[in-house]
Amino acid sequence: MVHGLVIPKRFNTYADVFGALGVALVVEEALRRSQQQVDSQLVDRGSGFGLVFNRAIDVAAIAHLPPGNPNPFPPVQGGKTNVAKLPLDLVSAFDVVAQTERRKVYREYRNQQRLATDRPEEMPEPPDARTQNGVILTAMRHDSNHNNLWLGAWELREHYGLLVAELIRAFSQEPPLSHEAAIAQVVDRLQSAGCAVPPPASAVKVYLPTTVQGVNRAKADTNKVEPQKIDWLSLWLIAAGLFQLGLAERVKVAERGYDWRVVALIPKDIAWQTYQQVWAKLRQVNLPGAGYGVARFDAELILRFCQELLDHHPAKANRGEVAGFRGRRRRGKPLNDFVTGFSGTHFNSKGQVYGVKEVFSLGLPGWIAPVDYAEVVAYQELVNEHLAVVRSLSVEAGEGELLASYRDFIASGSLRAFFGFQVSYADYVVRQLADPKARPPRLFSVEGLNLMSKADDDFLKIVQDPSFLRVAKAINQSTVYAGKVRIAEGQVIELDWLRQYGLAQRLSTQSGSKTEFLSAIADFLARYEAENLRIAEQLQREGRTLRRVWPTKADLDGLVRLVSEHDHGLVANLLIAYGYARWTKAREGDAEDAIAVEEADGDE
Amino acid sequence: MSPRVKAGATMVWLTVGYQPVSLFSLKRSDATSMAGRSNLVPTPYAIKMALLRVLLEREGYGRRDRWEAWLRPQFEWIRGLTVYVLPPERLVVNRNGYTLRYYDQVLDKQDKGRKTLPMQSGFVFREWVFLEGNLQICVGPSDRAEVLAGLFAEINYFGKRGCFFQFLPEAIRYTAEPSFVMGGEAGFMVQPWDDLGPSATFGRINPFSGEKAQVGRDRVIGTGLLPLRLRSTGAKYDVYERY
Repeated sequence: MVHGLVIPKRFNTYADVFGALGVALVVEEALRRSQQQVDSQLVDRGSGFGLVFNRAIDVAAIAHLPPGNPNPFPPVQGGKTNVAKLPLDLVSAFDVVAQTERRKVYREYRNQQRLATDRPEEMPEPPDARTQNGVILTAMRHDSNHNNLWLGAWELREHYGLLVAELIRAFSQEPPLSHEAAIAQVVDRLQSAGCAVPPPASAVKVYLPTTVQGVNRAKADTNKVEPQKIDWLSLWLIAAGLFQLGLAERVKVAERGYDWRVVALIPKDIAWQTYQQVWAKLRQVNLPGAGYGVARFDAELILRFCQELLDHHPAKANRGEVAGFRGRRRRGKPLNDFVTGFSGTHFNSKGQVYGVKEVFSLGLPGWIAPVDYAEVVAYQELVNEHLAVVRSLSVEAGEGELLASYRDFIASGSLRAFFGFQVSYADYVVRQLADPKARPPRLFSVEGLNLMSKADDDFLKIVQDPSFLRVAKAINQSTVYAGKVRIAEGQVIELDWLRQYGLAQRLSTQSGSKTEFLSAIADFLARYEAENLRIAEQLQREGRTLRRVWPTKADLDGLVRLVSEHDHGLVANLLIAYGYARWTKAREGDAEDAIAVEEADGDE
Repeated sequence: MSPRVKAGATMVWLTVGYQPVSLFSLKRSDATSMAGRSNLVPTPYAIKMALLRVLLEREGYGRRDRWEAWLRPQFEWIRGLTVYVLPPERLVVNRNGYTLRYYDQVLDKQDKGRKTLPMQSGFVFREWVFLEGNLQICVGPSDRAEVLAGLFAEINYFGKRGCFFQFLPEAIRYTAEPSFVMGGEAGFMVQPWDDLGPSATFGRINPFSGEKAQVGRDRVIGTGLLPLRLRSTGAKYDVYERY
């Protein structure tokens, strides 16, 4: 009886994740065939991935299973794939050409749906989540490698039960065997039983990106390039994980340049069923845009995944639990408590071939931690808001640095990384507002910033302070809501007060020193007050009053107190974030609110 | 903590410390030169090679008359050492892509009559590790721990040439038991743990000899479990913290 498996990590790339997922897929199918009703949990144990069963599984029953196809994935068939060896009369291959067409039709429908006012007739069937995984295999000419791995397992179909049972035995030993030792044990036992295990196969780069063709010698005696090989079983498991649960996408990197980016979702502590559901939905119907550069693809990937995971968060159930998550204690836990993030490889196009440009990983926001249903909804709105900001930026419009900065923030998992992006974005916001021909910029809402701040007690203490809020509002009214502002339908009105340029940069550069920061703030407030006095006097003559926030000396004193009690850099960054946010709620006839209305309509 | 023992006692473990003074990089043995993912800390193989280099530079010239007779026991002594490595408190892995000119094997095969080495241009992937804190190495058991400490004192880089480390004389410790070991506890980080094989010879690992080195015999690749936890990650970096 086995209660769980541990699949040791070996490569420190996505191959570790795909290998573990391959084992999970094979075991899941064997449990189904042996009619064992078992739920399992994927757990990252640091040195390996654990597959924990909710009840002990009967390995002997699996060992005695009748012959069957051990492959948890189909062979692929592209336009030029040689399928002569494949038993296509017995199994069907994954038709890459047909699936790509289906994907095109679906994406075309989605585009029309977004652009047209009247909806097209009937929604086409969503594409297979694995379509691009098939495409990358054919595009990189790895379809024959994939099919040979499939064929190797197909040849072992008479020993299906033994193969799976030995895999389970090898990965369930206590203490755990190393990955190599476990694989060697399975191969050894299969060979003892008379099975012809396929020989080591070519370690192609899509499976093992660090073994891309290059120099690899036991000693530095030559720079000869030799093909790399690895045992068949490891490669077969990786191939299974990659094809079934990988995300491959062709990302636009230049005017006519497209690279491939392949990612694996790294489980941390999540039900196997939930893992598959969340990931499949994203890959099928909520894919990130791939036509706007790598940074936007990454940022969208993280945000869209957050959308899907929030849909399954245990806090969504007011009472009881959402299937797939353990216990009520999981409420209020951040998203990266369930899934670590993404591990990926960037394949750069070199004409006919692809090279490994980058082996990377991306984290998930640690500050999204809903405790109840209302918060799940609020976080979903927040993620949508961030997604709208990201989707308003484009590399082609020269906003690549902003996107890279946002990607670094959202992938870091840390809230503090937000400010690096926000300082640059504040400048961008003002630049866009000042340009009558530019699209109105998307702004982060104050409600959203408040929700983000909840994750850090220091942040909360600062952003709830009335002095801080009044000064931040003053910054807002002299930058975002000042000068010429656009109202609905492209009309522009000119407000009485002037817009201040470069304020975010000024505050940011002075934030290294407490004295210099306070003097920059005092300077800003003095100018702001002088302008208020001038306008108030003018309005008074017309019998009107000034509707503008007016910080007092008490507010400045309050800010000085905040700066002495907290990190002055943090106060400065939060002031910039709140100063360039969207503060208003819609009210009829208010120009300020018209901005918000147009912004809401300006989404892609 | 093991009691302090005399360096001259039989079979003693030596612990030494280094302060990293530049970025560190050492390609994993399972990676090729095109996608050079780095180890996070030096491997036993790299440490033993550094010891061997210092030994040869210090004494090799004077022993050239009886080279074979002198070298063999020295090599076997270093080869037999067990090495444990304790990473610093924090590590940051920086990922970079470079355009390099490198050997063009295909062109070389096509035109054997060329007088110059054909080169081609392309990009490669490399990682550089910033180590924050001191690196500790525990080696043993050995009855020549003081000699070993003298060799360690002369090492100034591990891994890729130019990855400098400053030896810390005050960190030397002699103990009857290893001052730390590398276990298989949950949450540990894995890296290939290259070591000299028990039957490795100097001739086989010497890049200037024609003898062939073989993985599994002369270079044994085990599994190293480092007490590190991934704290943060992004497209261009990983941050690890020690447990």
